Amino acid sequence: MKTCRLLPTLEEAITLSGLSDGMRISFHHHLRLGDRVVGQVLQVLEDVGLRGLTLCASSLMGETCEAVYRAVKAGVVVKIETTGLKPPLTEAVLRGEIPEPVVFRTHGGRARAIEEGEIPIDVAFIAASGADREGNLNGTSGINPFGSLGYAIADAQHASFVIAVTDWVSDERLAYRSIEGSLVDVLVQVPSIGDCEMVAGGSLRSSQNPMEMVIAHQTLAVMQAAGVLTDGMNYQAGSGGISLLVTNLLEDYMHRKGVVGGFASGGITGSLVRMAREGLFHTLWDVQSFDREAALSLAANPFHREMSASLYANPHHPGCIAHQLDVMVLSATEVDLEFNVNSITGTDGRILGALGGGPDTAYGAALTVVVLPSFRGRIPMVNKKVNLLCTPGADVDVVVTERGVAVNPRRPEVQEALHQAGLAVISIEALMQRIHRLTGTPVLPQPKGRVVALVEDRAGGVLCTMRAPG
Amino acid sequence: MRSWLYTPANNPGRMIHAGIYGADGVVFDLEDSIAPGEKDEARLLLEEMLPVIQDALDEQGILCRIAIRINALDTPWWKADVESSLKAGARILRVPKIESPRGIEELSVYLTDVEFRLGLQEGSTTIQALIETPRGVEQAFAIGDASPRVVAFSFGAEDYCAAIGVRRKEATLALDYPRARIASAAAACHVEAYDSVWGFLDDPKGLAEDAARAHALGFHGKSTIHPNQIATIHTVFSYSPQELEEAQRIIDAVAQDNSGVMSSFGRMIDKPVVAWAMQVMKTSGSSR
Repeated sequence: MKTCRLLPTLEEAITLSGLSDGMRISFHHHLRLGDRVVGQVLQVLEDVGLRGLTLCASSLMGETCEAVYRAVKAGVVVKIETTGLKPPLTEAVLRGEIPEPVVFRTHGGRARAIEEGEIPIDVAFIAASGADREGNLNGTSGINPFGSLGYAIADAQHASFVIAVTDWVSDERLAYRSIEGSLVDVLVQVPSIGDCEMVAGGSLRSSQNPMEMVIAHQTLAVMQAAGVLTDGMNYQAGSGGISLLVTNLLEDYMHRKGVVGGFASGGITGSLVRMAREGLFHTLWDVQSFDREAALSLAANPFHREMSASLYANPHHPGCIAHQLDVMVLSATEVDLEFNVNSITGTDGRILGALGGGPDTAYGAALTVVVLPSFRGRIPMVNKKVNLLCTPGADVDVVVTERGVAVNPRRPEVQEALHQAGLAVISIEALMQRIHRLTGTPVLPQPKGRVVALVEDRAGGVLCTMRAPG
Repeated sequence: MRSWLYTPANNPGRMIHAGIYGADGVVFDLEDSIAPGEKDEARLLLEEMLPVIQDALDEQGILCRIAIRINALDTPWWKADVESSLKAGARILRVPKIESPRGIEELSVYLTDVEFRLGLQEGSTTIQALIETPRGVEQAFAIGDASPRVVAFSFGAEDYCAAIGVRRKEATLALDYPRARIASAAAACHVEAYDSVWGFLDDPKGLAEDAARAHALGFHGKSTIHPNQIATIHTVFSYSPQELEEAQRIIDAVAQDNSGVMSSFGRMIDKPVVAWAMQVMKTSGSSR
């Protein structure tokens, strides 16, 4: 059993960890846009002269991406493993500036790979909003509560050395603990881990977009027609604007119809907390808290349960929550005629989104509904073949756009149910043609440069590769 | 028609989506939302896009009427607007600042000419007269009676409020008179009446109250500048389940007894009551 030591500086902690050139370090992204830990750590790594590291993060967004880009330019980081990234890293990837191909891994795939020793983590840096002198950690107390530490749990359990970073150390033992001190080697108190008020930014926007509202209404109608909105249903929606709108509409529907769900899972929002408080869901399984209300609820409400990324979506976890979903609402950047989903790049090849837990939940859910606008600008989002395969079409049941609804021919019973309910369903080919009549048929980019990234499937196989424009 | 969504006719991104938000009608605007220097460009865009938009709506099975708001008849642009609108396939024109029958008559003559030149059926283009001034309000019946092309009044409360010196948001009482007068004239002319937009997008409660006031005074629908207002407008201007049930009960009672005046569930049923019930069922499209 480890005994946690409180060290005054990150530099001392890193020295003690034995981190050396070429090793793998890890981070979580629970502070999302408000994270300032990754940047602090990378600066120290550069200052002490470490080079050639692999950075394994649950995701990268906001200022963190600028810090990682600086670390790449300085040679500190040569490889990135993540579920998603944002500018300026997106452009850096396509320009081939990251020395080794970026690996896009799902949340479940990451947890599996860590637990099965596929990607041994040498040093895990775990930001915590609260810690005690035993090294127990949580994300629910302190001055920057961000909620669940779900993505960091596999890192804490399997990394060779764990450095916890916090800006609040309790003199008393933490009552609510996400990670036990026995897993933590050293604890470093820094002036600030970031700004928890910025957790609810980025893709977690509250949409007023009427187009997205049309799609959300249609999605609710699809779920209703498919017969999944019944007592005990287990529900998840992604972090995109449409998905969050669907949840809002679902709340009203469940109230009106007296439906009481089983669990809601994944990223948990204040809306879902309210729904659980109102008795609309029995349990919230929280791998990531999407706003302050959810973050504060986690330790306070018995219905609100923290879960590790492994329990959430590891395909080899016997209790995998994603495999118990009745319905999943998934955002996408592009869909093709085989119902394959691209959630990372747009039709024009630019990196826009992230893999997240989409492929995990699409595989596991009884009904996976992909929601997306039919085009953005003049670029159509339903095409013959996706630029980048992220979620296989076999795991997708329905595609909903504002220009029509298409059901995967593998699900004739869903098609029939929608037909019986009077919903107009068209083939995915007809949907694509309808959209292309408005936008024109796009000339898809044919990048011929070197492989700059690869997408792993949940089991660790290579699903597809991304090339530089060349 | 319960709702008309205004959309600038120079914004392809907004135009292409305008019909899918559930509004009963869309008004592509060539007037206030288009700067004087951009009128030609907007007309060209309209001619290019309107057939595409209409095809897309037809293919999706969306029933959404399309109207064009042309520039006022005292501007140098209105004739070109009419030509472009008809070439684009539009058959409903919304015409601003109508204050007398003369404007309608002048427009009708020009429409007949353009219809002839384009090989369209004479009289196939209809007019929604925008009444926006106290003078227009006083002339409402004459305006509606000036041509069979007039199928609706549209009330412009912003200009009306400016003319009488009250603020739009606090003008509930001040607007009762013009609304009642326009609604009554519409009924007399057998045309519809659409209320003014509610421009305060961050005040949905105000929208519901404003719409309810207009509905209570006899308006059939309301114009809007934002798709997010459509659902509220439809709620206000649709018949309630109770109204539908009552109308059906009256029609059923008449079907069983043709003796003229009768009673049903304690209510006297005479000719006007039957007419109301028929109108309700016709508008809602749900008569058995």
